This record gives sequence, structure tokens and C-alpha cells, in this order.
Amino acid sequence: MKKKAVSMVLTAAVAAALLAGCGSTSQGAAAAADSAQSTEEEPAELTVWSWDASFNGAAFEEADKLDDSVKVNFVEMGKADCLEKLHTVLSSGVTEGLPDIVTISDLNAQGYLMAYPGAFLPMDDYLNYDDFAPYKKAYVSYDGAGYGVPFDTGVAGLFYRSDYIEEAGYTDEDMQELSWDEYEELGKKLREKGHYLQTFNPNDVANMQILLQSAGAWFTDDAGKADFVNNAALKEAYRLFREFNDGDFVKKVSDWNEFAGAINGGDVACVIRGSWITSTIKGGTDQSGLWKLAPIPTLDGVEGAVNRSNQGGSSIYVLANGAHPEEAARFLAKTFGGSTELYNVLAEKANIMGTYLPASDVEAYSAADEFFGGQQINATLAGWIAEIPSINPGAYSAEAQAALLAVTPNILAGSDLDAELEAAEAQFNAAVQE
Amino acid sequence: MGRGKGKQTRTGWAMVAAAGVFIGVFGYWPTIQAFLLSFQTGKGINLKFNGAANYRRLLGDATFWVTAGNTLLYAAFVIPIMILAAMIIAVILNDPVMKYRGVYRTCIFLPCVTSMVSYSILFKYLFSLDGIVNHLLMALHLVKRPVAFIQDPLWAKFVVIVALLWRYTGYYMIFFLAALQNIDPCVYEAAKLDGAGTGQTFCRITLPLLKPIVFLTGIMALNSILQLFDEVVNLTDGGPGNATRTISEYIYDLSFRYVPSYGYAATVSFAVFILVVAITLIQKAVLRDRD
Repeated sequence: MKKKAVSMVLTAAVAAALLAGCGSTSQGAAAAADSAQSTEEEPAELTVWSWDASFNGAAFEEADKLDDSVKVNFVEMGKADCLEKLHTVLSSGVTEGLPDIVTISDLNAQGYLMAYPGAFLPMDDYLNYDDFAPYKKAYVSYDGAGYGVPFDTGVAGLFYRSDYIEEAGYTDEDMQELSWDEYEELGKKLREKGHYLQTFNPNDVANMQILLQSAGAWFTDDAGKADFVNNAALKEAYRLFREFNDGDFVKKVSDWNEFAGAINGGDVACVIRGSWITSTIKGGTDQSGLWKLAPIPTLDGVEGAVNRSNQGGSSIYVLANGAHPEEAARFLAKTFGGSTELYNVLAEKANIMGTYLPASDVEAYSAADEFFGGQQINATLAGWIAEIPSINPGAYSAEAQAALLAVTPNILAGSDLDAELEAAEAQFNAAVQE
Repeated sequence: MGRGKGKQTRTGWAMVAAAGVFIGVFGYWPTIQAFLLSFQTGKGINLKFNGAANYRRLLGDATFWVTAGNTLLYAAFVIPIMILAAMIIAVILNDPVMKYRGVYRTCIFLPCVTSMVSYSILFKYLFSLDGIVNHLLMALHLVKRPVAFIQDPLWAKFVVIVALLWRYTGYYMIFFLAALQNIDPCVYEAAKLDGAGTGQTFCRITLPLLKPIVFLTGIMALNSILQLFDEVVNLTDGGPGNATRTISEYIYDLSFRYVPSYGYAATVSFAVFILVVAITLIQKAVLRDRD
């Protein structure tokens, strides 16, 4: 039994190596069969590891149609599985069976670039990074080079139930320029009418990420050091979370299901998340026409805070030791990095919004969304993308978030904020050491 | 004679060779590699030997000590309660007078055939804010507001312990049932003739005769709890904060959720190994002393 704990890391590596071995065998056999009976002008088969067939899968399917020189083989896995499998296969050092293309969530990307030097193909020669939203470019750059192709956005919005806020005496105009304190005020009025303002999960960092980035701040500074104790935005965020935790105007939830249930079940009036949340909101089909979109509240009193932010999103990377790195890079440059047509189709068919700026006014974005009372939400969101404050998340966002979450219960229980943040900083420093 | 014995030995070795090679290659070789890995530092594949740096880091790592504390806390609560309950249930269900024993045994054993992930998720729903437990407590007017079982550092630990008890008591009951079948009924008959009550019989006869099984199940339970992973990840994800995080989840975090420190993760794994060996020796010594 001890073997399980002791060789956890290695068994995973062995398993990955075995899997990789199987993959390469079948690929090799297929390639042999191909070359035996066809000419040289066969399209290169690009293997893509990613998650969510209806999102990333749909995107690659459409991109594949635009480039005849390649054929995409989309391998779907869970997001966590995808990211872990990449760790095991890259750390094993085996290059057979590597995919050509992977998607990596933006907050994890720099960790991979740091941990596996030479594993990913620099894309500066293939892409013009100025074509992408500046905030996104920061995510995919490491050590002065650009690696990923910036893909989907998590541009943040305040999605709200127009019928509920009307009951509380608010109009759509009132929702446009809220500060966080005014937002809380709205919550207290909503509570009187029997509604909750939003959900609150002290173990979830989504709202924290949105608050920080709206002020151009992050958990870490440009050097990758913890920025906790003197971080005005972070402290303001904790002040708000304490009020959320103590007040009765938010609905406390502990996981995604309860979170989504509170939205679809009509418990909450507002949800502040990245634009990808629209697909969840639309799950409550009986609420069609009742939802609206407004900019997120502003952190008053924090320098440089705006009502634009981002939460979530991922980018596309080419593995330098994959079977067809050249072809993969050219394919991505041609499609995700150069085709407004692709983004138009993606918005129209799969409600996907990228961060490729020339595509921010494609036709499909201007479609009125009946679910959101006829609001052109995609056009609105696309217009915000270029204004999102740019931050450098560094490689250690996960470590920083874990360190903060570890002290969050104490902070919410009322202990001294500065002391707790210092303790979190100590934990972070311990976690990131070599 | 000598030649015959040599042949016998060769045959014996040939029979275990295949299994031995597999265990060596897939069991011991990775263990040795992990041990070597535990002396290397660096992120991802940028590893280099750095002496005992990882072990020094371990001693000062607050998160490791919190997770080790949590893991031992689970062990301290779960193992005694579980083994006592398993033993008592086994004794009750071993009574030949009782009807439908098989049905009860099956019912109590059944939880441990459920998948670890699914029963953890089930417990999460049971104890969620609008879960059935809170509904029950509210209906009975025992609480005014729903209890935040999963979000509260103390209650979350409680839920993990309850979940573990629910799933594993039945499993260990089977060991005790098997052991009870091996106790000669004459011993009980003699005790009855001497006028011993139920309590006396249990304490003076059943318990001493079950001692080896108590030791076995104790070690087994300790081993599995020190490697506790699935339940905590799915129930609370280690939260709130690090309140329910176990050592295994921390190892996983170090290798997969954070920028991977494979060397340090291997070091933490060996800390578990050392812990298991140490506790096993102590347990063995204590139980032997009383003989």
C-alpha cells in the first residue's frame, strides 16, 4: 500500500509513458499505411489536446475547415486531466506521442513555460501579437518571447436580473456605473424583497481575481514575489468579502452546482463572472429576456481601478517536440491568429469570443440576444476587451491563491488582516522555493 | 538429497520470478527512483541534486505540518471509533440466534463497494447548505439557520470523519467476523457455565482473542488514512483554506496544481513512508508489551 503514496509522481509518469507508447504505436502504424498508398501531398494530422468539445472542440473544427493543409484530430479530456497529462508527458521527457497543439488556461501557462524550457514553440515569427488584446499578450509571454496564440476571453461583466432590481427600485441606468459599495447597498434592498444579491463562496477566487485585475493588480508583482500586505485592491477585496460573509444579502454556496443552481433557480439577482458564464445563465431557459449585462462595479478608493476586468480564459500552444510543429504554428497563425472569418463563425455558431482585436466588430457580435432582453451583449463585451487592465500573472497564481485561501477562514472570522496576509506571504514564499 | 533440494529451490524461484520481476520493476524500482528524486530541487524538469535541501524545507513547511496534523487527526478519530464499532457490530452479527444475519452483514458491508468519488460527492450533497441534513435539523428545530458544514473549518473535518466511518466500518467488520468464526464456541460455553455476563465475555474473552485482528486492522486503517485523498478532494477540496487538506492532496498539489516541484513532492511522500513505519513500530511494541 505504501507504494501508492510513495511513487505517486512516478506511477503517473510511467502511466503517461505507457499511454504515450500506445499512442505512438498506432500513429506509426497509421502513418506507415498512409505512405504506402498515397502521395506526398497528404495533409499533416495535428493532434490537439484540449477540453470541452462544444467550446474548444467546436473552435478547432471550424479552424480545420479553413486550412486544407492540415487535418485536426481533437482529443477531448477534462480540463484538469488535460493539464495534468501534459505535466506527466512533459516531465517524462518522452517526445513520442506528444500532441502537436494543447490549450492551457492562462493562469497556468507561465508555470508550464518555466517548468519545461524548450517544450513549447515560440510564436513571435508566426504571429503579430499586437493583433491581440494587450492583457492577453501578457499571459502568453515568458522571458521576452511570445508562446501561445491568445484565444478565448474571460472579459468580466455584471449580469443581472432586470426584474429583481426593478423590484428593489433600480433601473438599468442605475446599474451602469456602480461602485462596490453601491453594489452592496443594492444587495441590502434586494434582500428586503426576498432576493439575494449574488452567491458567495469563500473558497472560490473568481470574484477576487476580477476585483484585483480591475485595479491592474494581482496576487504577485512583476518579479513573481507575493504582493499581499501592501496590495490596496486585495485588502479592499477582503473588506468586501468580510461584509459579504457577515451580511445576509448573499447566498452562500460551496461548489459549482450550488452556484449554478442559485443562478438558474432564481435565488440571486446578480452574477459577476467572465463572459463564459452566459452559457450557464442561459441554462435557465424560463428566465429568457429577464437578464441584462452591465459593467462590473468599480473599486472606489483604489488607484487606477476601472470597471473592466477578466476572469478565466485560455490560449493555444504548439509543442516544439510534437510531430508537426511547423505545420501547427502556420495553421494557428492562419486561423486563430489571422482570420476574422473564423471568429465570426465561432460567435455565430458556438457563442465563442476570442481576443483577436481585428475581429472585435465582426457581424455576428452585433446580433441582439433575446435572452438578454435584446441587448447586443457580444458587441458590448467585445468592446470592453481592449480596455481590460493588463497584469502579469507570473507562474505562481495557484500558489498565491492557495496561500490566501488558507488564511481566508481566519480573515472572515475577524482576525487582524495585516497579520493574516503576512502569514499567507510566508506560506507563499515557502511554496515557491526551488 | 542436496541435488533434489536445489532443483526444488530452482522451481520455486522460477515460479515467483515473473511476479518478482514485475514487483521489482513497477514497485521497487520507482520507489528507489522516487527516493533519488527526493534529493533534487527545481521546478518541472529543471532538476538538480541539492543534498538534503528538500528535507530541510519539509521541516519548516507550515502547510506540510498542517496537512500532517489533519491526516493524523482523521486517524486519531476514525481508527478507534471505526474499529470499536466494527468489532461490536461483528459480535452482534455473529450471534447465531439472530435472524437474517446475512442481510444485515450485506447492508453494513455495502458502503465500501461504492466508488470513493461518488460517495464523497453524495456526502457533500447531504451536508450542503440546503442538503438533507440541514433540512432535517431545521425541521426538528435544532438549528435556526442552516449549518455551513462544508464551509466551516471544524464542521468540514467532522463531515470527512463521518464519511470515512460510514464507508469503512463495514469493511473492517468483515475481518472481525472472520476472526470470530475462529474462536472455539467451547470457550464461550465455559464462560457461560461460570456465570459470565455479556460484558464480561466480550472484555475477557472476545477482545483478547481478537487482538491480532485489532492490530492488523489498525495498521491497515492507518495506512489507508495516511494516504487519504479521494474523499477529501471530492468533499471539500481540502478547504476551507487548508482545514481538511491531507498529505496526499498536498503531494498532488505540489506536482500538478502548482508549478511542479517533483523533487519536493517525492520528499513529502517519503515523509508519509517514514510516518507509516514509525507508527507501525510503535503500535507493534505497544501490543506486544501487553502479552
